[in-house]
Amino acid sequence: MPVDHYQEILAVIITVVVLFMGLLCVMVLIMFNHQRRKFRYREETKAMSEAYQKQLLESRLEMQEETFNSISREIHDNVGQLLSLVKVQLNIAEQNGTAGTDLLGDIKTNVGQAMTDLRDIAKSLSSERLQWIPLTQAVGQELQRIGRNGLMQCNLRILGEERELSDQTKMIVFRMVQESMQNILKHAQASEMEILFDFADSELRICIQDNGMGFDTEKAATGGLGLQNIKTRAALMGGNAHIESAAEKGTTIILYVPYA
Amino acid sequence: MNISYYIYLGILTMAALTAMVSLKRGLSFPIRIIALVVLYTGMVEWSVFFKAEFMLDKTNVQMYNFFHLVQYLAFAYYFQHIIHSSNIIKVIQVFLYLYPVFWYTMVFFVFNLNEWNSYVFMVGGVFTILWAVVYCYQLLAADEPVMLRYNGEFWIAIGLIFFYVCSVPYMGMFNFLAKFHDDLASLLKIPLQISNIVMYSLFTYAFICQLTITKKS
Repeated sequence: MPVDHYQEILAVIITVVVLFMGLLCVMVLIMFNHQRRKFRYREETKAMSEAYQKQLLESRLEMQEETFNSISREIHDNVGQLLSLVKVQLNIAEQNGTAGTDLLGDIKTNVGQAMTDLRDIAKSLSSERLQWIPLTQAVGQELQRIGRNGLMQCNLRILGEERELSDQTKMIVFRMVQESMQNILKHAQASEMEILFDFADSELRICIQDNGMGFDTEKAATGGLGLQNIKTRAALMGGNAHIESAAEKGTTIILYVPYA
Repeated sequence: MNISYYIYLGILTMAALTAMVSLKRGLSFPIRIIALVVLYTGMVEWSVFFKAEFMLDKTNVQMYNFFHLVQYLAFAYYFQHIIHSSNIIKVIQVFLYLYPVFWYTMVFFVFNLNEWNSYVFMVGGVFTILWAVVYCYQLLAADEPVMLRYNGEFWIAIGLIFFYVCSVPYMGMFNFLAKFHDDLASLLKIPLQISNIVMYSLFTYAFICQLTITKKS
């Protein structure tokens, strides 16, 4: 090889080295960009998780508020009425100076009934209790409580073997079912209510059905916050809610709840 | 001696000084391995410089032959501590056992201690590139993002990739060039020194950014 060509070779090699440096810089920049994206993705995931937790908390507070309202009504309408009656009966006994066996028996029955009602209310208020008993049992007790006043025939059906849900999901599902039952009591004017738990392999399907007056779902979807709440809460658990209703044909709410 | 050689010695000395500070501050174990290698490299290069400048016997290839063994084993050991893939860790373990055997065979049976051992350099260099690329891929594929700016291991890996990709072809044919085109072999030392300067600058940055993190935390 002629010695004159050495400088040329050196120039080529230095160019290659510089090019390689450039290539390495591009590689480093790509890695930096990739890491930046990863950081951004992590931030977004964190923000989404925080938003989800916030929504969950808001939903829980909302449900708590609704439960408190319904319990307040329950105490006022049932226990309050029973205790007022007992007070009247005791006043009668006081005015008469003596109380007959029948009157004492009535007072005892009414106080007993008030105590049972209070105990039921306490049970339906307690979220802690839900951790220890199965969901179907908790809903069954609610149905018994509603059915006890004789205004409505309540049925509970269970298909498949009951599977455990997380405490959070269980609580939300229970409150949703409870709210649906309260809505039936308040608005549906139904004589019959049935709740079906279908523990399928892929997910839990809960069907809440009544034979009441029903409503127009299209109108309710735009104006009713309650139905929207049910759908939002179902979505929070990773499931969904389907509502079917027509005037004079009752209402059916179907909740699809994933197990995990 | 050309100017690039003096720049290289200056940068290497700076890297050795930051390595000493890193050792004193007790940084992470893998970084300390590299700090020791840099200190050792500094000693070797300064010894070579003094021998070439002030002594009659100017041969230094024995020092480099032994240096390569220590250096490649240290690099492999370093990557064994920062790579998470169990398969690669096993491969590095095998390399750590086999490379000294390979070195011994090459140095004493194929070449000799006073001869430039191109195979030892090439095999060690190629494996070092492989470990560094695997580490960079690990960073790229990891779920958790890493602040690359403050990740000393990353800059060390980049420095090693750059240096060995540039130097392996040249060092691989060094014996041939020295025998038939000695002038060209001398000229090609300039790109080699440039790649050395880049690598030790990156090492210096790697030590400094680790020191900054320690100071911050």
